Amino acid sequence: MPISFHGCAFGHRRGSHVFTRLDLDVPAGRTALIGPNGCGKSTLLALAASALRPRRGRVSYQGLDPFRRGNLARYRALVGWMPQGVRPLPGLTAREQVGYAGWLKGMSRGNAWRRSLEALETVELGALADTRCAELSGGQLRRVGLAQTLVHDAEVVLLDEPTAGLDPEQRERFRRIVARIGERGHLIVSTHDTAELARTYDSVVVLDRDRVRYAGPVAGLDSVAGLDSVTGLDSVTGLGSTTGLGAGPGAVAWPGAAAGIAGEV
Amino acid sequence: MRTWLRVHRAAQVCVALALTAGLVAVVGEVLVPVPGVALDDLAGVPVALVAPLVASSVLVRGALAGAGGPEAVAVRPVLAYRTGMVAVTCALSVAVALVETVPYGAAAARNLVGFTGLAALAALWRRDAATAAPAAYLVAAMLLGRPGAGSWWDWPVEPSPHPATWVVPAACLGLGLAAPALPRLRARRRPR
Amino acid sequence: MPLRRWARSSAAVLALPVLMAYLFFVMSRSVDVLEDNWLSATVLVSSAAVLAAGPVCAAAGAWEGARLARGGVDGAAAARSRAAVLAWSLLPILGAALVALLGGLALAGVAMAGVPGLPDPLVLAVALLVIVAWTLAGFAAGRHLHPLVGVPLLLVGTWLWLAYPAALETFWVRHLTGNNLGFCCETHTVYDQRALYAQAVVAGCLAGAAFLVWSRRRGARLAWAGIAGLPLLAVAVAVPLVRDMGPEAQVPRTSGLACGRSDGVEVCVWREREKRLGTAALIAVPGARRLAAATGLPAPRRVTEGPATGGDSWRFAAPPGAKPDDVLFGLATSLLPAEPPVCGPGWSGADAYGPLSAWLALKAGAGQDAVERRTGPRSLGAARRALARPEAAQVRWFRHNLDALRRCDVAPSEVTLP
Repeated sequence: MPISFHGCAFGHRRGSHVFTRLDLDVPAGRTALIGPNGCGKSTLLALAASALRPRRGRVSYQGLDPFRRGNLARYRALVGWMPQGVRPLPGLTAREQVGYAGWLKGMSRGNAWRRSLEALETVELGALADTRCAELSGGQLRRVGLAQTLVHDAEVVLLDEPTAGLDPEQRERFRRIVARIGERGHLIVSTHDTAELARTYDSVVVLDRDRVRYAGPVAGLDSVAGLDSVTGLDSVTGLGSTTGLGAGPGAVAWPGAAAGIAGEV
Repeated sequence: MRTWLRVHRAAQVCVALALTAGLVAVVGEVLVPVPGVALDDLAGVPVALVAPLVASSVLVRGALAGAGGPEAVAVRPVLAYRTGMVAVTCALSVAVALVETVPYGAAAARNLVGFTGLAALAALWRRDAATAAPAAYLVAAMLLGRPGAGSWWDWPVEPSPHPATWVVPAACLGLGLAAPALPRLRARRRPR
Repeated sequence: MPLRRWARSSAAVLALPVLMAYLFFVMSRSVDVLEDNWLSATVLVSSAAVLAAGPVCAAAGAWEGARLARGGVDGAAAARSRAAVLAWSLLPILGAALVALLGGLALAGVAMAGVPGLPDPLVLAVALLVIVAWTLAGFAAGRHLHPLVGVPLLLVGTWLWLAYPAALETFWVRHLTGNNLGFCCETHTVYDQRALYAQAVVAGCLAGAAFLVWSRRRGARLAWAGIAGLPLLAVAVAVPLVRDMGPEAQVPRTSGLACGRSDGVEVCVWREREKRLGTAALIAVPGARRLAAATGLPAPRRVTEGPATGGDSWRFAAPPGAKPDDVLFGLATSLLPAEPPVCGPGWSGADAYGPLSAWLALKAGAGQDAVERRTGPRSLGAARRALARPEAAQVRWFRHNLDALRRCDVAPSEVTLP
């Protein structure tokens, strides 16, 4: 299990809460995190990235708790995170911005500079490496953000709604890139783009109002009743018809669900 | 580090500090008449005491600038860099003020320290409005303070760099720089 | 958006208490020494409002401008014009400024209770224009500056522009800001309209340039021309209007008298003092007859608080709280030249001023104590020595020393005690 949440509680302000007790083992491979707006997807990813610290409980990657003394730098070096909004840094080119992200992740300046071009090429943005970020389009900037998470060879990549607001061509390009990243390590992507879930992801986590409603393989999603309103899958012509997998009664439950740690809650 | 300094507007901070130092040296002694509650006549506040507010704002802006997401999960100690940038700038200003004996130079350096400290404290509550706190405090001190009376709280309008007037500014800066390092405060801050 | 939510989300909510407090502090210093005319109250209110609201509204504008910029108003293809978008954010701030101005007027109204007249709308309008201009400047700055820099920069910058010129010896600068130093005018003077026009021009140009900065689109050359040209226009028009003005923007008042007749003499007071016309006449008319008899001058046909020729019309003043001796002293000294002649070094005519004032006041019927208090014991002593002479010698002494006050080639005579 790449990332685990054990009894995590979190709220942005005193008295408010996003999660009261979150228990989840995110499956390995490419995982989609879906759920309605405000259910806590971005917070979950920020907790996983160690950008936020849980009030109670523990987040860990392969047993490594970032908030234990001495673990933070090691943890952060293993995890890459792209938040929803990628801001262009004034005066910096795409390559400089990506190189800066690498440097922040502990890479040497020279290494970060070298790797920044590779990362930009991975996201099909090599040709614009010397263009100022402020001049890039929204979709291109999103890919710069993705390159920032890839530049330091993270084992786990967390992407927060990377395809939101992109046109179909850009989405397709993103899916290609996501598939490529998934081959190298673990990937958790929060998304509302539920079309072709099965083709892009191995597993899915469904969040609904601070609860995990489902965590398992994409194929098993249709076997869980009452998720339509949360995932909106029916309105996207239905999982089966989109993925072509079929969602019969024999869909296999995710092993984690049986262990009671993840799965339908 | 060079890119970090670029991202955190080190050049602008240097320009703002140089301009402020020039302003203090050239017209620092000029008194601006201000109505004060505690005085019968208009109080004269030297420009040198007011000018550091803008330099402090540029410094705070630089310190709080940066790549929100990537810096929030950086492996490098970005908080220490930011703290260092502010602390070194303030220390250099104080050192320059002590070496270059222009009138009100030390008081201006003290105000830079105090304004920056107040902004750093206010940033714990709300980052984008952080510099409004020292601005409001300066106006309140001009209205209610008695320059020369040696009160501990109206240091922004106190022309004398008496050690007692350094207590609050230094404490504000110390607290303002130390507080973000407290895990409880850092945990709940939403990354931008 | 519901009205309450629209107002609540504005920086004006925070700005209002700050500027109300500042306005109250500024006004409380001066409200007790107001002249008995509404112009002085209006100038005090407008001055306090500009000094309080100008910087605060500029800072609030910088905040709101940055908010709109962050909200992507620039990039949005809004159905409303940029002016309309700006106005919706501007109005709550201006509303706060207006509330503060009205609060100041209410405070002044209490102090001016019983004084006839109304606040001068032109002075208030220019004050509001100055506040609008600085608020727009804040919006323009906010479009380009982060609020961390924009808010304190506008707060301190505007405050310096409004407050600092009072410390300059180049007087005309202070007449451009709109601050007006909190004072104008004594009842016998009025505000010099040239200063108001200059302030309106500067504020109008600032507002225009700020609006252009706010609303300009990329590459709009015409907007750039306006942004560069408007400040030049302001300097070209406003500076000549105020360049020759002294430290205060006052000119003598020529209208607004209330007149009546007493014992064949027309008596005029400023209309704000109309209630005291009868009392003033009872003091001034007999005093004038006594003075005419003592000096040999023809008795005046008019005694007035307004402009007087000095021949058949004499001046006096009956401000609130003035005692009969004060009124008589004013009447008596109005016979002396208002300003000394332009003479070289060594002119000693000024020595005659005190003794002549004392002699005239005593002749008009003022008490010795009041005269001594105003002229000093030496002048009173010289006047009493003159009074001891025969009437004809007294008249000669008066005329000679009056000449000494008017001319450079006549030395005063017997104005010092042996």
